[in-house]
Amino acid sequence: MNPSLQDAGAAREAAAQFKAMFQKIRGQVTRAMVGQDNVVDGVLTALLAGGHVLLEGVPGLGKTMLVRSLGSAVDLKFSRIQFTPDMMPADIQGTSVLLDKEGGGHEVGFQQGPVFANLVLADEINRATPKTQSALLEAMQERQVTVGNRTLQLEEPYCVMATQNPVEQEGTYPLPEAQLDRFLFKLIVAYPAEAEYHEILDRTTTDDDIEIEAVSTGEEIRALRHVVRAVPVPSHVQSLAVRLVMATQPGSEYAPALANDNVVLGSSPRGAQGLLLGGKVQALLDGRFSVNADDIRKIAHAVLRHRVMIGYAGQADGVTPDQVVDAVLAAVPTPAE
Amino acid sequence: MNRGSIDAIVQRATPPLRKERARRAWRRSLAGSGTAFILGAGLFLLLRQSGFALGLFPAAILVIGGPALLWVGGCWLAGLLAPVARGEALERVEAAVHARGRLRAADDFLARGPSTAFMQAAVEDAERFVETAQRAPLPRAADAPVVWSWREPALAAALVLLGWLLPSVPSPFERAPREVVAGTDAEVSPRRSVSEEARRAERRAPPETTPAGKRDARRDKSRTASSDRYATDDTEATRGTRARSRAGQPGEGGSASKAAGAPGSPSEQDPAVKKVEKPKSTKAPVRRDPPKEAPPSKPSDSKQKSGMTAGRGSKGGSTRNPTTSNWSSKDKVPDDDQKDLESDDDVEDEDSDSEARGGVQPNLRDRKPPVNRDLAIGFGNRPSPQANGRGGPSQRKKSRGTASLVLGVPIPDHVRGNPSPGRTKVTQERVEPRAEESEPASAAARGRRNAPIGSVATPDTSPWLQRILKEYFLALRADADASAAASSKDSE
Repeated sequence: MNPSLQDAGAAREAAAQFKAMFQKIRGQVTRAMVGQDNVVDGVLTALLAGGHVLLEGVPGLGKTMLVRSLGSAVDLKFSRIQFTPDMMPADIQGTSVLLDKEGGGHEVGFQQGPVFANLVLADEINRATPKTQSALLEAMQERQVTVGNRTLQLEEPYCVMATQNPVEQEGTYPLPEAQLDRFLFKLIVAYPAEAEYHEILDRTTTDDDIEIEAVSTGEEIRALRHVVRAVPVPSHVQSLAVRLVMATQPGSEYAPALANDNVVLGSSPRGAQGLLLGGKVQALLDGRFSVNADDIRKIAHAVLRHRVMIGYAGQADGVTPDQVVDAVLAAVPTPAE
Repeated sequence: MNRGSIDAIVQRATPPLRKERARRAWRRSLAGSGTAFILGAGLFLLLRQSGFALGLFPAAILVIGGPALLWVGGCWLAGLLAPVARGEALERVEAAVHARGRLRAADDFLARGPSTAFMQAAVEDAERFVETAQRAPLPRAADAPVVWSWREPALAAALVLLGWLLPSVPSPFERAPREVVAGTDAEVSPRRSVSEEARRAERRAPPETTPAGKRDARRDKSRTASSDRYATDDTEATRGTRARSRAGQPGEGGSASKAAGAPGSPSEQDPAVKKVEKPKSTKAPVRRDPPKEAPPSKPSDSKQKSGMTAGRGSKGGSTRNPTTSNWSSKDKVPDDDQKDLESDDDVEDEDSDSEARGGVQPNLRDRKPPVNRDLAIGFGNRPSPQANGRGGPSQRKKSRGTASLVLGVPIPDHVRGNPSPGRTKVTQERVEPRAEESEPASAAARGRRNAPIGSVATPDTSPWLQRILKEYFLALRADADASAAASSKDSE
């Protein structure tokens, strides 16, 4: 329980602050980012819920710019890693180097890699080898990095935002399920609408520079994360989240036929955690103090789509994870009890 | 705000929800009522075939009003009586007042005890919706569309019609008695009154002449036969038969062998005659004695001398050795009369099976020796000479049945065929390459092409190559022309 939230009034005030801060950050990000409201909301939700985000979209849609502008808006330490096939784990974690001492002589010191930041943009993460990709696993889940015999804690808030291109698959290494599961959301960055094209062109082809103002600090983000975790979840909503996750698992009691026939691997309990955390943010943004079933359903696609692994038969039939999630949402009603 | 106010909301929302459920249930049940129609029609057919005389109107009530009404009413009642969950009621109320889950959450937190600041805030937040929820009318949910198909009712109607028409088709049973009772009302009355007339005639006419009476006659057959048997009980041969009977009821012994009683060639006979003859055939051993013992049965006795006696003989408890009879009648397909007779025999046997076996030889024709279950150990190392590989400590069991299909069961595998010639031995030796004589193919032997070559891609020659080639051939030709001119001058 958050010690600062003693009574209902304090909770009300914290919720109002949360909403206001969210809108402020969002306003700054959308100054640079045209359209893609769902993606912006998703990234902010993941940041405030304490999760990581995987952005998938073709090149040129502003994925990198979104993350960069977010880093500027919240005044966090931002680093960018462009993953390549020849990248080694030491390139992102850091390595021990021989340093000159002031008084003469040398000593071995640790040179931190780009993973030591608050916001890490892992650009085209699927171009790195599995060995390098797995270097991020510990950082994402444990918030720490172990190099040699040293374990270094990462500074909170810590958020990895990875991008990958769904089209160019040659020479890439698809993320393993274990790493995919560590991302709270997977957001699909789609093409902008026609009106948004004009806005993009007006902003980017003129001499006007868009300066993003930092409206929040890392400390405030940490506080907002505590507020999110303080939001209660009614038992029937929790049951709904559990059943939705179970319904993605083939052979389970709630799984629809589409999942049974085409899914080889369903969501883990991390999926249920993601549903509740994302639902809490949605409830606060909606001005409520508890999560309802609509909050869970609203973020189900972002939470579950990368946790559902389609089998060969499903891929041959053109079944997508989003279709499976749709079937799951249709098949699982909100528990009446 | 306490939980009682939410209870009041739930209680207010429950009755309309129940009615709505019942309404939805019967609307949904209409889709399944077609099946009920067909079931009712099937029931009608069944009753009709069982002999119940149903008019069209009662049939319609039975088909339409019975199962369909029962089904729809049952669904409606089930929907009405099904309990309404608290959450469902609150959800409906929330939809009416746009509370967006606040009431359910507050109800849940109140039940748990609002322990955190956010829970208290959630409960307080829901309070402003409570008063509205207690007054707001519940929105009526959209009714499910009624799914109704005329296919099933039409099929049910067709079945009813079929059931109505089916009994009017005279069966072979009914045809023969109508000939017997020629001249009666049944002959001239319409078809639909056949069964009623038959039933009426059953009451009037003697059992041999009416169709229903025939059935009665069959039912009373055993009684008649036994009375006949008792009538001729005093003969010497019968006494002998009775002496072998365990229960002392020789007539009933005839039904012991069904196989012998079923087929045969009695179809040549009139059923009425059969009835007369049945007791006599029971006395088959008697007829093998001097004929003076049974003068009235002599004609029929000569008629069914061999196969017929065997076919129906068991009815009479024939003691002839079954292995000596030709059983030619077994291959014949029994007609309906015989089937009926046989089934009647079955019915009669039910109560007399256990006590009337005596005096009749069972049918041993197809009997096989029983499986040897001897568990005796063999003589020393040798297996028992009586062992047949099926049970007991005998030789290795034969692989039969499912066990032979199961992997892991050791089954000797013998492959018949010629012995293998052995492995192929390959030896390698190093040899020096030797020249071989070969005949070069001459180009002249190819002959001319006798078909067009088709389109041949012209190789692209560069201009300088074309020029060189042109100059070369011109020079060659010029030299040839010059030498030709010189040679011509020399010759001149």
